[in-house]
Amino acid sequence: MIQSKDRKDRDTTFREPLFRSPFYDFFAAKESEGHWYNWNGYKSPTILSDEELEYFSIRSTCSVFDITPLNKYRIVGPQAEEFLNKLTVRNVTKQNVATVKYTLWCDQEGFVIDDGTLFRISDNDFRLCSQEKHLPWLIDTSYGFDVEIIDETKHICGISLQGPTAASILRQLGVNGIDNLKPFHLFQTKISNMPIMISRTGFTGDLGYEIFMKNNVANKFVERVWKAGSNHGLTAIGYNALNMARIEAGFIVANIDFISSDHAIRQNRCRRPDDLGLGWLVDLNKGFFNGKKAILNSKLEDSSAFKIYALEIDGKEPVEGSIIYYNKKDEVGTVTSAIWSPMTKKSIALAQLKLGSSKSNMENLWIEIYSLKELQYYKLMKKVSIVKPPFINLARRSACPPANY
Amino acid sequence: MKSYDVIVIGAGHNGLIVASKLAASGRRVLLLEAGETYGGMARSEVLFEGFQAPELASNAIGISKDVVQDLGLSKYELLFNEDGLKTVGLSIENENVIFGRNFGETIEGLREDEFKRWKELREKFFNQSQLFQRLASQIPVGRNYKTFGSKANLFLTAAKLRLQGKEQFQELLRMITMCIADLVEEELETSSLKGLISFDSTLGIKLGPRSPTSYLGLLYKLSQMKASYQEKSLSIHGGVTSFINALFKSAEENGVDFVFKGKVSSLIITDSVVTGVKLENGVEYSAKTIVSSISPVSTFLDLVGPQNLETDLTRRIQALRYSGNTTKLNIILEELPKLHSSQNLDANYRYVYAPSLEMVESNFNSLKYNELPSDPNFEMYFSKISSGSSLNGAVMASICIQNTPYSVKGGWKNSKEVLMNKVISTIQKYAPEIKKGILFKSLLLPHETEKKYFVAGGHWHHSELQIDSLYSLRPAFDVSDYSTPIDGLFICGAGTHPGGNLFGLSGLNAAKKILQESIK
Repeated sequence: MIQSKDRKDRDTTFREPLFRSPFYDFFAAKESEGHWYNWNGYKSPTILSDEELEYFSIRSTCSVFDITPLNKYRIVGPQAEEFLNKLTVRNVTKQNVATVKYTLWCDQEGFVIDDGTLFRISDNDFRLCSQEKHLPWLIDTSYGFDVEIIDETKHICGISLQGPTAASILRQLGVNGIDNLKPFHLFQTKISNMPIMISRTGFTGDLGYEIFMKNNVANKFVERVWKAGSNHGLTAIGYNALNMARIEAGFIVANIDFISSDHAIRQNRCRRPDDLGLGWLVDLNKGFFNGKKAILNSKLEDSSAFKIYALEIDGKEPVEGSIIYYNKKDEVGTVTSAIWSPMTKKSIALAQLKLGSSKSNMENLWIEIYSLKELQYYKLMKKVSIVKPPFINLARRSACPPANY
Repeated sequence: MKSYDVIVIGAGHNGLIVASKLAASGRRVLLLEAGETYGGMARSEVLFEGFQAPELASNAIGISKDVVQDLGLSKYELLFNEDGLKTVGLSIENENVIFGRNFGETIEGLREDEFKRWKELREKFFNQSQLFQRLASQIPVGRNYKTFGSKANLFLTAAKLRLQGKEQFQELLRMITMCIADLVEEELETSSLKGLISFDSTLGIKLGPRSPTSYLGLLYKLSQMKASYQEKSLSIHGGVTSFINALFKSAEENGVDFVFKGKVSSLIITDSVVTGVKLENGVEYSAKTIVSSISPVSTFLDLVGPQNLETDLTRRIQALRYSGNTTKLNIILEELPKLHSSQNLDANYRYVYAPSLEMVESNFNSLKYNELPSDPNFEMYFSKISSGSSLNGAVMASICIQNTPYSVKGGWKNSKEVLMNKVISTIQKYAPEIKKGILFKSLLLPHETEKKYFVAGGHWHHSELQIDSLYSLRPAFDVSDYSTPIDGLFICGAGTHPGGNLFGLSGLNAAKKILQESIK
């Protein structure tokens, strides 16, 4: 007979190929027309009820989104800061305790492996969140550093509250200190004895918070949030709504807008921070870090690489995956993410284009759209203009204290 | 802080070659050695009652002709065995084969038709070894792979091999990744001959005769033979010491400064540029060029340190296999032992105990599982001690034992004696009186070599000489052309291409690379 303890420990993934986040029951109960997908091995919603209503909750009330599937790595030890300075391109020495920084890390060719957010919880205690899995890379990089790396993806869960009423909901919930919490800052607190970590971060370009906690308090906590949000239009959302918001905010996603260098099979698909428009993150004045030499050398070369641009496109046809031409005939790149933006009332896109350094190449760009109308394609050539991201800039995102809606 | 143009770390033969060659070009060179004297793993040690001999290196299969010519070593006294080295393949049924010089040009004790087949096979072996012979003196394609110049030599080598004809080229491609067992079993019957060839293909590397690619080990050895003085080999009697002394004298005459007992603790690196070294005793020296002849593992993980290294390179260096698998046994005997077949042992012969291919393979299996070989295979040289010591007339037996694990199950404490006794009782089967005449014996295990000679893992080649770590992959792709991502730091030890025994081309190639770089 198999002991019950053994049974519990056994790998049951073959019965349930996708993990259930601790919030799964909560979100599944909110589903009416649900679509689900595999996000990092978790069963995650793309749409729970209505994509557009979910999107508008981000912009006009408040949304709750399950961020548990994000990879979360805890980095603890006396040399945690030195280790992260080698791993990532930003200067971690300059990052204060209780702050969050957007960062990225490269391989020895200076090609971006992934981007993510780095939470500095205390002097020697960090959390790194990323889209892709990187445990072997982190462990190999930590060789020779007095630091411990723990994959806490399965032990820590999180939700993201994004939207104008997010602060009000947290006030209602009884969280002290929301008024003083500036963007990219964090603090730890307890809500009826449930320890949580709140940071003013998000992936929407709106006012919003991300809250991490242990798995065992997940359900109780999210029900409390739901109750507190009942008068503030709190809506459970899936990935599609979030994706619309993040494109408006001009955020890029690994393996959608660029290919992570450890996924790329073709060498010319790899991108350096400059190519992603993220060169400003790289601190070349700090000591050695992964990719530094290659990044320095690449600045000497005449860069003819693909770069990521933010585009506005005439008309309102969907442009996802379309090809962009210079002077209507020379192919210069493709759209990686695109939506019709409800906020700007424009067709917007992120695209990788190979334009060279000449300014004149930035004009006279056209996009080829195949528009399907009742079983017949119409080929359209629409004018494209390069703009500076983000597409939207909301004052409430950085207002401190945030207004009470 | 004293300043030099070049600092070389490690006074092994490769370190000495680099130091001498760079000093000859007019650079001020400092050679730092952790041990008390020069020579590295080929250095002489006092073994017994004031008698000095190399404790580890008993014989070099080949020292590169290029090294001797380039450094003009022939003006110093190099001791050669003009007749070349003959090998006796000991067999169990007392049907020993005697392998003529030059890897079996002639073989005594073999039927005529088998010898005919052997001759053809041997010719094929030597012919194919040209691949390595040509590659050995080239600077491998490395980080500069994008330029055509870096690949030109490689293309030329391939073209030359192809020009030998389609059939020969196809045969090379067929055989190159095969195991030596399949190749010798295709053509030969005599057990001790097959055993001998298997032993020679796999000595010093962690492969058995039935492991794929074990044929490469033989090609490698033959290519070194061909690149050396084919007709003669370094004398068993003092040949290694004469070579090391010649290198030292050459370095000294070129003006190299030496510091012994100067173990380097770290390199001084700022922003990926090396500016000097720091010794364990706190002394610092500065130089724009640092050349490390110690193992790549120690160079990168200990001296450079992971905080100055890309994760990609740290990974590759960590993945190197460098635990030693060969043990050295030295015995000093009152006189040359007699074989029981009344036939005298000849001090000019090499004796190999590998009576069958199966035995070599089964001992390799023991190695895989960290067990003692049940009936260890070994090679053995005898050299007469004549230098005016009290031991005059005595004989030193220098024995290399194959397939001994770095760490053995149950620990070496109890197994060391067992291993030594196993080997001695094997010798006793052929020379019954040997035990009576033993004046001194000492066994040096891989982990003891590691400690005494400052070699990571105690591996004679610093890292395995196998298909995944040759040429551009030795020790790792990013550092295969002797330069490193740290500006000013070069590597030149046995862990670099082509490595291997006392060949010396790693040092010579590295010196050429450094001279090339600084011309630019």
